[in-house]
Amino acid sequence: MVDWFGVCYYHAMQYKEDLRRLFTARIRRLREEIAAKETTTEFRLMHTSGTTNEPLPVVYTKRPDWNPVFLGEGERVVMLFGSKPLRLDFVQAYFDTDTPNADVLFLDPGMETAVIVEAFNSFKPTTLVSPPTTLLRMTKNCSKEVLEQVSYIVLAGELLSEETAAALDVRFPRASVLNTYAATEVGEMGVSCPKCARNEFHPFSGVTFDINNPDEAGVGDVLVSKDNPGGITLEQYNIGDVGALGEHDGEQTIRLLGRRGYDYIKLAGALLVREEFDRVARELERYILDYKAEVATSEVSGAPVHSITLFVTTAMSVTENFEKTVAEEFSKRIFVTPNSTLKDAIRKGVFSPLTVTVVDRIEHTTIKPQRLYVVK
Amino acid sequence: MKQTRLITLDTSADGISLKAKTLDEIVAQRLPIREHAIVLVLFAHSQRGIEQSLWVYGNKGVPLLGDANNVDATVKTAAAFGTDTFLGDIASLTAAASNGLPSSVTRLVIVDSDVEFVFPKELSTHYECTYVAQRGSE
Repeated sequence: MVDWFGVCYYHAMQYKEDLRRLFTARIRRLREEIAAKETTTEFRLMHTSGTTNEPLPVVYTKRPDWNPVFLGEGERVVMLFGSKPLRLDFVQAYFDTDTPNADVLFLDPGMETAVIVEAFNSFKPTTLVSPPTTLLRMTKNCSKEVLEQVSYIVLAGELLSEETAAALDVRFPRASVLNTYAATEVGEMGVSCPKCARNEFHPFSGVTFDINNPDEAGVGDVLVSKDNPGGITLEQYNIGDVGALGEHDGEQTIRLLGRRGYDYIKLAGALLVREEFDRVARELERYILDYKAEVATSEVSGAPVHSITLFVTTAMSVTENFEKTVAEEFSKRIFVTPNSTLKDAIRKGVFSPLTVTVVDRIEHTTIKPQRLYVVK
Repeated sequence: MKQTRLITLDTSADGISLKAKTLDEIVAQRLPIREHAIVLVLFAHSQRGIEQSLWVYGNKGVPLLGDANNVDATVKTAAAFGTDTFLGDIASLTAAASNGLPSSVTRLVIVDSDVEFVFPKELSTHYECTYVAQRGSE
């Protein structure tokens, strides 16, 4: 019997009392079943990636089955997304489902290129499930013959840029590409159809979208409501995305435009957090009076490469090596994952070397004072 | 009849090898974990973590599969869930212990290939510790 899930929002979302109540109820049920030595195989414990604040613990009691579109249709499936609990949940979904009977291989985004290439060559995947930029980066050096055998790609976890979509078409000429909308704490929400614009999604059955405080163009915070078979409805959950409602074929769609706020950017497994930039800028205050960072993504030999430009003002007299020194110091101090600095990410080729440019004055936007990053 | 299989990837000096395991094969392992435990599973090798989590499910427990690259978040979450058992490798145990294991944990089960491993006294005096040496665990 399908039941429903609860989610706990400790810090950032305490106003979501209903979600906290559900989490508490589910944890209580788990402990009761443990104490009674009843079966507990229906529970799923996981946590979010923490982009909304801190990682949020999530517990499902027999989550609704994954929509079959997420499981792919091929015999040999490679999954490339980073969340470990989500991976486990997907494996469970495969084992729980009669079809497809697949061989499922997970590869870590941080693996060495040679290992990835050899794994692809040995496994010869027919289906790939991945965030789009991770997929491009990890298959950059794989053989053309192997990639041409891929017949089905499920994208999730990131907005799909025009450049990335075009590069995927070239990289995987025989694959049907399905873009999906899902989040750890809510589960699957929607899927694109061939008529959809990029990042436009039809809601799955039982899911509705609303826009909170839409501007004149209809753009605002995306609110998700989701019916659940246990009888409790998730109502107007602010998922942290910005978008607008659309419609075609008589059905409501959601068109995603970005994430709420500009105090972080998530790229290829790296998380560029404004507070972390602020921390390093404070450490380097002898060099930096004020700063503004811009992030851009470009394509190099078919793979996305991200670059950061740091515009700084300084009280120092600028010598020939000033910008190089600041770039070096900044890159080795700033963490873009819990254990990796920007310097590490540059070494792996995920980011190009940090560019520092001295300017006379930093123009912070007056509309959103916290907006420090711009994705081009 | 073909069954769904988890593919694990092992790397060695000779290159990589892929191994396929059905759920029955995974669950058939013998690990000293009590039934109905809430288990924090933390392995540096993420595929090993998935495999051991499936084992926990198959043996009437509930796993929280942690991220060895984000031990802080994993330990915080594990505390929220009231995990009572830690299952991992030596490197992950060291990282988690330095972050402070959740107070609800009473049992440590380490699976690794180092036959010389001995639990540090500060752990063995506070936890019920079991070490399982497995050849070529990675």
